[in-house]
Amino acid sequence: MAFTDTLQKTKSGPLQVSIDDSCSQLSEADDTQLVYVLMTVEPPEVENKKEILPLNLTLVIDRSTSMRGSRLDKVKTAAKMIIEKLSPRDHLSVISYSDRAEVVIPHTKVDDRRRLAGRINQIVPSGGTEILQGLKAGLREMQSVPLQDYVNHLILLTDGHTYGDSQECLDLAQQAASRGVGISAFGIGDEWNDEFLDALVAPSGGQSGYIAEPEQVIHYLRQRIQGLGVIYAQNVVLHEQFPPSVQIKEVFKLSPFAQPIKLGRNQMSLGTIEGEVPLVVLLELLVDFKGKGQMLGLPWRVTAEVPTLDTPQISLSEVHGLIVHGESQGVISPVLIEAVQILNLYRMHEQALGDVSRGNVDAATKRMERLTERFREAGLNGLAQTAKAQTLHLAQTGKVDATGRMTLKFATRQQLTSRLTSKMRS
Amino acid sequence: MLKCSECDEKLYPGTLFCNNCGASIKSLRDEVAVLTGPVEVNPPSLVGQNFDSLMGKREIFLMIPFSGRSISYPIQQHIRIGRSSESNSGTEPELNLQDDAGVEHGVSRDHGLIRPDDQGRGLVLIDLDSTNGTKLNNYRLPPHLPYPLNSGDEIQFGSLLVHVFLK
Repeated sequence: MAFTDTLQKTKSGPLQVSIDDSCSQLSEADDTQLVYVLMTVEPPEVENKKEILPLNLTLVIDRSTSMRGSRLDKVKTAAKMIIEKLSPRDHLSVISYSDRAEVVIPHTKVDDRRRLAGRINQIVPSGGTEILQGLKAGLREMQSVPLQDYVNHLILLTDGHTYGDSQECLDLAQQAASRGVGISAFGIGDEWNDEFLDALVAPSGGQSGYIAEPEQVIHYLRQRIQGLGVIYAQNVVLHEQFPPSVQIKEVFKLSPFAQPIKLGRNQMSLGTIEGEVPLVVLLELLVDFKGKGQMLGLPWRVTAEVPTLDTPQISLSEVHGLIVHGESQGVISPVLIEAVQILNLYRMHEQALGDVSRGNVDAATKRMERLTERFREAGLNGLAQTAKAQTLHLAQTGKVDATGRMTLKFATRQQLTSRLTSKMRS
Repeated sequence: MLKCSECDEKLYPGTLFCNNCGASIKSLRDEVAVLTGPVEVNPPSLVGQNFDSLMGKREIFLMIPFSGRSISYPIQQHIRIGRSSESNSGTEPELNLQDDAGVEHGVSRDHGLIRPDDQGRGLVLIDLDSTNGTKLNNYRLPPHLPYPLNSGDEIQFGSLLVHVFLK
C-alpha cells in the first residue's frame, strides 16, 4: 500500500491547480500499475472583476431536407433566443448549410435584434448535409474582426452524416483551434455521427451534445451560451513532460461538461473555464514503479489565456510527486472514486458497441446485462432502465437501437458532471 | 497483473473498477464508500446565478401547445397550477389545466406553483408533490424545492407541455 500527499494546490495567481491521485491504492510490486489523477483548474476565489471579453459567435445551422418541420422550427426559435440573450457588445454571424452554404446573417454587432431575427425566419429546408461547407463559411465570417479581442466560438447544429468531407472538416477544426476559435457541435435526432462530432470539437476542447427531441434545442443552446458568456479563461492547455516510465492511457474532461480529451504530442486542449465552475480532468496513467519508497515526479505545465489580466497569456508549472510507501496509509478521495466508477460504466457501453461492430452480439448482450446491473448498483436507475431496454433490443434484433445508444452515451456523460459537481460541493 | 474476482479479467494493479465487468476492485468496498443507493437527477440549473433578470419584464406568458392556449400573468403573481372542474370543489388554480386534457395528461389538482423567488432574483417553479411529477427542461423536479425558471424553459406537468416566456 502507499501514501501520497494527495492535495497540492497553488494558492494564489490567476488560476489555481490542484491534483489528487490514487497512489494510496498502489502495491510495491515491480509491475506496471494504473494511477488515476484528478486535476482541477479553477479561478482564484477573489476574482478580478474586470469586464469579460465580448463574444464573437457564429451559428452554423443544418438546413438539409431532414430538418424540415419541428427540427428547423425549434432551431430557428433557439437562434432568435440567442439573439435576445447576446449583449450589444457581442458579435454574431449565422450560416445555414445543406450541400452549399448561405450567409444568413453576415458578421455584425448585435444591434438591431428585430432585423436579425427576421433574417433567421428566412431559412428554408432543402438539400443534403455537407458540414464542410457550413464550417468554411462560418469560420470566414467569424474572422471579420481581430480574434484576439473576443471569445470566438462556433456552434454547429446538424441532424445528419456528412459525406466525404469529414477529414477536411477535422483539419479545419484543428486550424481554427490553433487560432483560438472554439467549436461546439450538437446532433439532433439519432442519425448523426457522434464520433465525428467528438473529434470535431476535440482540438479546441469544445462540447458535443445529443439533442433527442427538437423541443430540447433551446435548453442546450441556452446552457452553452450561458457558459460562453462568462468565460474566465480560454485555450487552456495541459502540457506534460512526464518521464518515460509514465504513459498516458486516457484523459477525460469531467467539468464544466464531460468530454473525451484528445491526446496530442505532449499536450492536450482542455477548453475553457466558465465562470466559477472548475475545469476538471481525469487522467489514467500507466506507471512503472520500482517499488517502495520511490517517488516519481510528474512535471506539468498549464497555459491559458485569461482576458481580464493585463498580460493575458499565463503559464503555470509544477511537479506532482507520486510516492509508493508500501504501507497501508491513506484512502482515495471519494470524488476520484466516483468519477472513475461512472467513467468505467461509460467505457463498458463503448466496449459493448465495439463488440457489436465486430459482429459479436452475444458478448455485447452479456456486457450490456452487466452494465444494467452496475448502473443499478450505482443508483443510476434511469440509465439502468435505458441499458435494459438496449439489452433487450440487442438480444432480439442483433442490432443497436440508435436512440438508446445516443441516450446512454450522452446521459452517462451528463451524470459524470452532475455527480462530480454535487460531490465536490459536499 | 491483478485478477478481477468476479470475471477473472487481467487488470493493472491500481485499477479501481474492472473494465470488463465493472466490479469494484480490492477492498475498496470496505475502505471507502463506493457510490450506491438511489440518486436523484438534478436539473442543471439549481444555482442562484441561473436566474434571468426580471428587470424590464412585466408579464409571464404560459403557452400550452396541446390546446394552443396562451395565458399571461403579472410577473409578481403567484400562479398555482392544477385542475378543477365544477364537480370538484376548492378554489380554482390560476392556471387551470382541466380543459387542456389535464386528466389525460396526468395533471394533479394541486400540481405546481410558479412565484417570484424569496430574494426577488427571478421566478421559481415548485412541484407540489404531484402524482405524476413536474419536469423542467426534461428533468424531473423533487417535490417542494424551488427551481429557477427562465424565459424559454419548458415545463411538463405530468405529460402536458407548457412553454414559458417572460416579456
